[in-house]
Order: sequence, then C-alpha cells, then structure tokens
Amino acid sequence: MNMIEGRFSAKLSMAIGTICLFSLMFIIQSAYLRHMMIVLLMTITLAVSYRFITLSGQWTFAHYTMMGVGAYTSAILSTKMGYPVWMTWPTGIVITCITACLLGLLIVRTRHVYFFFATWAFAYVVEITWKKLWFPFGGFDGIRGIPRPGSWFNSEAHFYYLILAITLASLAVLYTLEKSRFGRTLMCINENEDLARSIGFNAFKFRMLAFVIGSAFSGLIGCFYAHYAGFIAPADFDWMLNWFIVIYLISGGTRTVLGPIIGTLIFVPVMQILAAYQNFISIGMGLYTIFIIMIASDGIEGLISRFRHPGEVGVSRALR
Amino acid sequence: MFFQVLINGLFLTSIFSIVALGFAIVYGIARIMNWAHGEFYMLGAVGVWLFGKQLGLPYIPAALISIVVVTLIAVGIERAMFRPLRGLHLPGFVASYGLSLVLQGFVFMAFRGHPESFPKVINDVLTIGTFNIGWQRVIIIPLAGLCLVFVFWFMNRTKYGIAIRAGIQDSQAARLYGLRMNTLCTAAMALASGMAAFAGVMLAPLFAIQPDMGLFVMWNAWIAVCLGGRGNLRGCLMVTAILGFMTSFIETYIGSYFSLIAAAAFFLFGLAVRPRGLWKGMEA
Repeated sequence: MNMIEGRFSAKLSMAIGTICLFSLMFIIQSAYLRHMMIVLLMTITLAVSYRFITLSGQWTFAHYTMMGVGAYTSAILSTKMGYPVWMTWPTGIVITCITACLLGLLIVRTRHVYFFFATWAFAYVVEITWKKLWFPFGGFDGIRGIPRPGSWFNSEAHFYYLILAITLASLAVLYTLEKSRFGRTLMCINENEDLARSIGFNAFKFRMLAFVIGSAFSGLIGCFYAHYAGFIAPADFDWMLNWFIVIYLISGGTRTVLGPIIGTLIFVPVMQILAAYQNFISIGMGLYTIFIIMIASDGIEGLISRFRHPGEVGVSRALR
Repeated sequence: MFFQVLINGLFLTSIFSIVALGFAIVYGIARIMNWAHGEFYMLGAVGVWLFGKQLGLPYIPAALISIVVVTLIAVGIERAMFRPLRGLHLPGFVASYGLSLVLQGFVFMAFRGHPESFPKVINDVLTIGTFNIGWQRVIIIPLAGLCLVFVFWFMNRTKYGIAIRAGIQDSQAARLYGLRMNTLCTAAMALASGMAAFAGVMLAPLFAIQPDMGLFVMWNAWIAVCLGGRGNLRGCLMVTAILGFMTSFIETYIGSYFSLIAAAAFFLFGLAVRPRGLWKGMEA
C-alpha cells in the first residue's frame, strides 16, 4: 500500500513538475532569463548524458566536441545545402555517432586517465581543424545565418518548449537505459571488468555503446544549439568547456541522475555571476576543484545522502 | 636547413625529456598524473624573471634560487594535496588540474595579463657554413644531457634512487622491505619539480614567459608518459625523442599547427595499437 502510494505520488509530482516547467514562460518575461533557462536545460542534458558514459567507468573529455560535431553538421547542411531541419538533425546525430564510433575504435580499450587524455587529444585536433579549415567550417569566424527550425519559431519561449521536450525525453530515455539490463551490465563492467568478461559480456562492445549513446545526445544538443543561436564558431566548443562539465559532475555527484542536475543547477548561475570577474575565475575554479576532490569527494548528492543516512558505510567517490 | 632542423629537434627533445622524465617518476611512484607539473616548469621561468629582472640578481644565482623555491613549493603541495590522493588516478588528475589553474591564475594576476621576457644571457651566434643558430639555444642540449646523466645516475646508483625504482615497481613489496613510501614520494616530487624548474630556467631567456607556457611542454610530456609505459624511463625517453624530431620537422616543413595534430594522431594510434604503452611498463 505504502509502495503504491509512493509511486503514485512520485508520478503525480513529476506531472506537476512538468506542467510547472512548461508554464514557466508565462512567469519569466525577460529575454535574458529565458536564454538562461535554455542554456540551463541544454547543460542538464549534456551533464546527464555525460554521466551515462561514466557509468562504464570512462570519463570522456570530448563531450562538447561531440556537441560541436552535431552542430557543425546540421549548420553546414542547412546553410550551404539548404536542407530542412527534419533532415539535418538526424544527419547531425548520425555523424556524431559515427565520429564517436571511429574514436572509440581507437581508444575504448584504454583505461582511466589514458582515456581522458586520448579524448582530450581528439578534442584538440578537432578544434584546430575547425579553426584552420575555411571550407566547409568557416575558420575562426564560424558559420553565420543558420535558419530557425521552423517558421513559427520566433521567440525564446518556443525554443524553450522545444529544449524542454528534448531534455525530458532524453532524461526518460537515459534513465530507462540505466535501469535496464544494459545499464546494469555497464555498472558491472565498471565495478569488475574481469568478472563481467568471465560471465560472457563483451566489455569492449558495452563500453563502446555507452560512449556512442552518450555522444549521440550531445550531438542532438549541438543541433539544437546551432539552430537556436543561429551562429556557431569554434570558440563555442572550446576544449576548456569540457572542464566545466567535469566540475558539474564531481560537485553534484554521480550516484544517481539527480547528481549532475544538482551540479548544473548550482553551477551554471554561479558561472554567469562570476563571468564579471575574469581574473579570479580560474583561481576560484581551481580552488573549488581541489576542495571538492579532497573534502566532499562524493559531491553534494553524497553529502545529502550521508546527512539522511548517518553511519552508512562504503561511501563511494564521484570520480572512480 | 636539414642540419638546423636536426639541431632544433635535439633541442626540443632535451627540453621534453627533462620535463617528461620527472613527470614519469612521479606518476610511477605516486600514481598521480600531475598536470601541475607543467606549472613547475612555468614557475621556474617566472622565478628567473622575478629574481633576475625585478630584483636585479645576475642570471645564475637567480636561476639557482628559482629552482630551490619551486622545489620547496612542490614539496609543500605534495605533502598537503597529493598524499591523500595517492593511487587514485582520476581524482588525482582532476585535483592537479585545479592546482594548475590556481597557479596559472596567480601568475596571470602578477603579470596583469601580459607575457614577459628575459634578456638573452649569451648573445653569440654559432655559424657552421651557411647556417646560423644562437648559442643560447645550443647550450641547452649539453646542459640537458648533463641533467639526464645525473638523473640516471641517481636512479641507478644511489640508495634513494634505487628505493624509488623499487617503489615504482611494486609499492606493496617495497613497503614490506621497510621503505617509507611517504618519504620516497616526497623525494621523487622534489627531484621531478627541480628538473621541471631547471627546464623552465634554461628556457626563460628564449621563450616568452606567460602563464600557459607549460601547456606545450606538458602536452608532449604527457604523450611520452602514456606511450612510454608506466614508470618506464627509457621508453619515455624514446617517445620524447620521436616527438621532438617530429615536431621540429613538421614545424619547419609544414606548419606549427600541424605538429600538434601529428603529435595527437601519433598518440591516438599508438594507444590503439598498445593501450598500455609502446614499451613495457609496470602493471597499474
């Protein structure tokens, strides 16, 4: 009885929350705040899909780069060839998947820091390619005049509804995947790869799939971003941005889906406020990173769960 | 032209190898990929600028003070920050990246955002046939060679060096034989940061001194350690030689941006063939 009630109230609160999120545009009228909300939702999807990759124990450093691959594909197809949006977005996602596959074939066998740095090298190479190739990437200036996704997209509110739908759908898909047999296998591979292989799981295939699926969602966000901003440049997908996503995850925690969401909700506004103090941002970010790794290694989520269940043994680290 | 490229490759190799060897030693014994290692290199150059140009000391005393100060800073950081993180790969790496951001931020503020420079100590030019190269650049090669000989002598012939190698091979067994890992890690960190600072001190009169000057060297040192095998100093040296000559050739004949791409491609394909490094390393 209790359980049924609990499930019912969870569903009800989710429905109410969704309605609230959709009706938020009636309250928020300022264009800047609406833009902030869109950025927040984009970042939440990125962070949650990033967490999906980390389920298999790999911390990639090319998540923003994958987003850029999707964005550039969609932008080039719609500006230089004039394809409609319902064709460019799937193409963007497919190209992102192919890129992730090719990169994964090279480096999925590597572990820990090696994987991290190999994806970093990839991010660096791709960024230089965007900057240096005038055709078709437009060099440092990027690509201008990307059309809106449809003729009725004429205000931030419409984009907000679109990204909200994308975010909710992505969260649902990633959550279902994590709770399915596939997600459990990934966690098993992360915990003990030898054991997982001994009972017949192909660790390479699963790690690869996790990487490709996570990258596909970041490619989707890239497609959205290109058509929302109407202008993309290599600076939008700078490799430094990948650090922010790592910081969202380690400060929020990676135990459940809520961790990255909490981290993003706290950090994106803080970064916007701190943007006025450019000189201190790197020192502040560095000190914060050291602090969170040394003191609260499980993130805010871990702190909350330790507060709610004191004396629980075996506190896991956000970063494994 | 070809000779010039060779000398330049040797020059780059010697710089990369000094930084990469220290990095490899710390990674081997503490199992922390210390991204802030490049910042010790940067601080070495900043120290020369501070003591030499701002306080007016001659070059050699300024250089010595700079190396000592950087080593002390590094040892302090090792005691406070790296000791609890020893053996944790990703947390150690991310924390060291945070440290690197902090150090870069302070130098950025001290420089008010502008790169600084230090005047050349040796102004003579070496001329062989039609080809000219500054002595300031050439002198680095024998100095770096001396440094490498010292490091290999230290690691193979002295008590501390042999203990560090034992720690790299198997820290559990080394502990059973009564070696103190804490002391060894501090010693390894002092050696490594001293070497990085030495490289920075040598390069201060040649390159622009700026907060992110460590990135270029660290990039190559990192590839060398990943591909050389964990704790394998000879493998690390081999990879630095490949990278140094490759960078020199490509920068001269194709373009400087392309050298980074080539290094990254070499790294990615190297990892694809041998995920644990091209040469045999210790088990992680």
